[in-house]
Amino acid sequence: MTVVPARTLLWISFISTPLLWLLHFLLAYLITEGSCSAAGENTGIFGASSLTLLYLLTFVFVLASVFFTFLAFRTSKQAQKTAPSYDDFLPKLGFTCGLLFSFVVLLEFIPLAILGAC
Amino acid sequence: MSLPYGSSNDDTFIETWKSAAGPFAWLRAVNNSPIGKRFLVTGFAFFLIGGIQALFMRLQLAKPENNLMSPELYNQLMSMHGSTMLFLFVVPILEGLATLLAPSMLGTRDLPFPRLTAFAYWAYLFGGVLMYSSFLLGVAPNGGWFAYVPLTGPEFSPGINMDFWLLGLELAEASGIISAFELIIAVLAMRAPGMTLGRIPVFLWAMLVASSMILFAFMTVLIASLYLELDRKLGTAFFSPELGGSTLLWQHLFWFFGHPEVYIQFLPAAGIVSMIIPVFCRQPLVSYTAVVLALVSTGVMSFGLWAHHMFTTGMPDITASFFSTMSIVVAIPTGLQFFVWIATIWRGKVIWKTPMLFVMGFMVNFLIGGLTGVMLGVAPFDWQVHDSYFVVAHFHYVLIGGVVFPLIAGFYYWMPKITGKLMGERLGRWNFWLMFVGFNVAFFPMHLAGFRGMPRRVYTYIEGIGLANYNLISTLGAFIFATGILVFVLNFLASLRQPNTDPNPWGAYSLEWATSSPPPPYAFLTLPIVKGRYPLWEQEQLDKGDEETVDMVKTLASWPLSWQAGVVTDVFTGRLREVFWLANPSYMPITLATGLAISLGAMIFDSYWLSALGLVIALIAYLVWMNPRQRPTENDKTIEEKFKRFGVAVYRYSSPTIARWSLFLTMGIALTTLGTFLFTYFFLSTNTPVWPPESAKLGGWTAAVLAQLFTVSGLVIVAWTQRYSMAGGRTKLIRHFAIASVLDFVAGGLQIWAYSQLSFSWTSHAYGSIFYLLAAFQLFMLITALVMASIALFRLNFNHDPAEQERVQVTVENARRSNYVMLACWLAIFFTLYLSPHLM
Ligand code: HEM
Ligand SMILES: [Cu+2]
Repeated sequence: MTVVPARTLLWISFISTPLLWLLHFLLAYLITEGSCSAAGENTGIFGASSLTLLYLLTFVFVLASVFFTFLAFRTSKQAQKTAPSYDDFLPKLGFTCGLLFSFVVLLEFIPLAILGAC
Repeated sequence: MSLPYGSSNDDTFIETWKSAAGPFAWLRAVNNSPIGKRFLVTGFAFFLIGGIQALFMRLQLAKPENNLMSPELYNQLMSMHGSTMLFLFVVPILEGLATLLAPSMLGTRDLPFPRLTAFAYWAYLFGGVLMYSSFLLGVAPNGGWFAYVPLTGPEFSPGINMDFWLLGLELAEASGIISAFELIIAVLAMRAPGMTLGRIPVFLWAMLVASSMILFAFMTVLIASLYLELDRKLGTAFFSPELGGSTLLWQHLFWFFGHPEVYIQFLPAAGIVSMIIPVFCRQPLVSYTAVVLALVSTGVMSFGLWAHHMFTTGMPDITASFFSTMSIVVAIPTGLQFFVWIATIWRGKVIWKTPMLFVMGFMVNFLIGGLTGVMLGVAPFDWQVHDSYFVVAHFHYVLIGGVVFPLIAGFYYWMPKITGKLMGERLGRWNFWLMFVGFNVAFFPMHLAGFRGMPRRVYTYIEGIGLANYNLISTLGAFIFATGILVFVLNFLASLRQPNTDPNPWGAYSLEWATSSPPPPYAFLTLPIVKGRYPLWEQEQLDKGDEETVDMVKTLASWPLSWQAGVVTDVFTGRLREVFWLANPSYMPITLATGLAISLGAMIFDSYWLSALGLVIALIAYLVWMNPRQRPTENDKTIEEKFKRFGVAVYRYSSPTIARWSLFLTMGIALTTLGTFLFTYFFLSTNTPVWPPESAKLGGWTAAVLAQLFTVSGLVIVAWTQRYSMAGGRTKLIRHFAIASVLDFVAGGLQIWAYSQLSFSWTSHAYGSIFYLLAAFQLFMLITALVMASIALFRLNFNHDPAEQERVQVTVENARRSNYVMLACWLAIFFTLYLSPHLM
């Protein structure tokens, strides 16, 4: 019997980066919503300026996305060995998702860098 | 290969799968094929009704200062047109198409819950009828399809118009969620042997993504409608700014649903296109993975776009730019799909049959709609044209070009699998050109009218401001378009007199074409064995494969014949895993739906005793529905032994795998609900200078803290049971669940006592409203967990039938999991209500 990647790993390799993006997006949204008044003043949040927070957040999330993209890549290689009986489609899909969503997290950061936090 | 494949001539089997007979049989019909057809017919009927409303609106707008109808009637027609098209036509008809076709496309027999399929249909029908019954009283909903507050709140819409909308919608949306729930499980767990995730027909990938989106998105709009109905009926203050509520809250919740909704409609339509193009180009898609990637990523991204509908409400520039960025980025995956389609067409040789014509029409029109969409995603541009006819033009290009055209293409394409008949090509071409030309004549000028400043949602406009010609042309186009639809209907009726066609008239590749036209109710007696993405193109035979699979499939074809058996396959390997019983026809789905409709309908007229009666009917129907007495008894020891050797379990009740998936999805829904409530709480808190209000005093701290301790200890005790097996640790399992239930019960009592100490009510202020709602949700989750634990206890105690131990096991697991989710909700709510005010 060939060793197959754990089932949870297959799921994780598929959904992690989309979820990371969603989480990043919602957090970034909530931070600006919570700390910027419509007039453009920055009240900050938890003492830190929201821009610092957002920089940090983006950094962490990009790293995490890249990690999971790599994980998906590895899982797909691993699954390929057992294909066709064991499908490598999900991690492969996860890998492409990973590339796309890591890029999108970065992309969202552009307005931040240009406009500043508020 | 010789088709049809997998049909049966065994009388018992055919009898087993025949729909119920008798004059009232249609009331208790279940199974995907009769119900799927009803979805299609009903959905199309709503499309025609919504279309007629549109034509009347266009007549009114044909010339300036027209007085064909009153402003009030225009508002009602406009609101019902939009609501009908979006809530009662597109989503239900797509879910109906999938309900009808998914089993045969997947190479299996039915959806996992035949009775739930039927219930979804009745709930949809009654929801629609409830909304439309308002016309009888002349009080149709008039607040537009997105029903903005404060216009729709108690102050400015004191009539019952909006109650019809809100309550009818609740039922129709609940139906959407249920269908989605079933389709997800079907696609994940019920496929032909060998159909791995990478071989699922693209349309079903699209339905999988869209259904997952429905689960989350529809919950938020259900909750928003609940708030509004509570504001209207019980005087809560969710949307009353003077009491700390927020009108923008509605917009956030509505569009958090509303934008994904657009893709919920578009993705399945794109899936249809991806199915049709290869057939008429005789060419596999150039990249299946790219298309699936596009579907999945669009689905996810669509949850990050909602505020682009709110650019003009005032938001920090940076927030606007997030949403702006995403609105542009989301075009990337759609572009990717477009390139795959174009490349496929490029490589193939196009056969110009009607379905392909409609696909081409789709590509042209949707391109325009997509581009104007990207334009609108740019906030400064939106500031100019927001709420003008430019927007009306944009979304009709997306909805008609992007959804209706593919849908009609799909009807032409799949009609042999729906009725057994091919529709005429000559009328088909008339149909297409009338719709294509009519559509563009009707809607292109609206872009220009919008630039000229014509606002949307007006019943007329004055003369001499340069709008008359555009509008006249639009009206003309609308009637040409409508003629096209008429031709479609005629073509359909004419086709019914034709003889049935071959199983595979288009020379297509997916499994539904392996069955006869129309397919038998069971679709396949012998399940096909799949080895690629295009089985009918790539495989000489569908019943060949590795020895074991062939043997399993053959065995399944010989038994069981006297009860409807569904088949569960492994998500990843596509191997057969379980054979389980599909519930038989029943009057209960319709009774349950009727009970709920009575309950909701009575609320409109403030008749709460009738409403309660409706709920009682629903409850009784539910209990009878769940009555397991009719389970099959036929058995065959040798065959079951054989299945066992293959690693296939036979269940004369529901499948444990499916039960696990169901719980997983249900808990997902519960957490979405929690998330929406918490969002509401924090959103309102940032919108009020003093939160909680000065007058709001929390009492009963000690009791509340104790309650948390009790639930946490309950959870620890329940979690402990993970270590006990069913065989050895049965008494321990019972003991642990019993103790945990007592603890939870006490926790509930303490928490209720704590809440009874509050100094405010749900009408005091928005804080009070969301507070009590969270409290109610907390108790609801507790009750759910207690019920799950009781069922587990009951089965552990009384069910010792060796054949059913797996089922008992699943009940125990599910009880444990619902306890985890309950605790997550408890702690989150305790943190929010008691602790968070002190942290901010
Ligand atoms: C015969 C084809 C159709 C015509 C002539 C038509 C015409 C119209 C008109 C005149 C309006 C009112 C615009 C206003 O006053 O602001 C409208 C609104 C709308 N239509 Fe259509 N329509 C057609 C088909 C559809 C379809 C197929 C869909 C959806 C799948 C749809 C969705 C909507 C929506 C969502 C609204 C907005 C309602 C609102 O503002 O609340 N329409 N349409
Ligand atoms: Cu949108």
